[in-house]
Amino acid sequence: MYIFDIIAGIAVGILVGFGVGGGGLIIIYLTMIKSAEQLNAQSVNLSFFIITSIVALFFHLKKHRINYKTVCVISAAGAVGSVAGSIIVNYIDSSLLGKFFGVFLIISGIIELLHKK
Amino acid sequence: MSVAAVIAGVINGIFGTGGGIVIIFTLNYFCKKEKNYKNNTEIFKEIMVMTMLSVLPMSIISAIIYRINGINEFSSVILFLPGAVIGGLCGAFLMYKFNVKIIKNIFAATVIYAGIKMFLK
Repeated sequence: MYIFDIIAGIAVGILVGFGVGGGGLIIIYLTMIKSAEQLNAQSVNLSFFIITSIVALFFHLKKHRINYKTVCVISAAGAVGSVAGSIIVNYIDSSLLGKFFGVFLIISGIIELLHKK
Repeated sequence: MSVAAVIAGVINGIFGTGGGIVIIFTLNYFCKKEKNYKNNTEIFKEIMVMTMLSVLPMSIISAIIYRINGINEFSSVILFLPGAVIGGLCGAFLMYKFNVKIIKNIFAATVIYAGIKMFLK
């Protein structure tokens, strides 16, 4: 049965490499199929994204010239938000977090569909 | 832009994912305001890469704080590792071979999995 996990990991990794994002998939896979806790699944997802994006960026950054100044601004501001969010999440009840996550997925799915590019 | 980034960070911290969506939209919005905005996939790809690069530190910080708070990773993270590396490599290559259509399909799949999650509730 482990082969499933590996295949799922590869599939999601490809999506993340695209930049499209597949983080939600891992969390869904873990919580629905492997019965993981929401927070544990999110933790796995974070690690997964870190590894995948480092690998993918290695190639992407060679090909594109991007505005690093903007990236720094966004990263710095985002880092502040991350600290806040990561602390807040501990105070949210696990089942409630799961429901919020479901709503969040639906909203982001609809937004992505409506996005014209 | 900074406000949007803070929001993206909060979302990424609470849900473990999703900050990227906020960033992509914000970048897209600001790019459109530039005078020399050319509506092509090249700019889109640049936005994608910038987003990925920006979300990376957010995820690292969130991961560290999660660990500090004692949230353990599911044991099968080891199994995901090859997927992460292989997928990252493939995705990076494939992004240049495939076009907007594929990305749109993936977006559509996103909605579908979102719907599935709702049914689970």
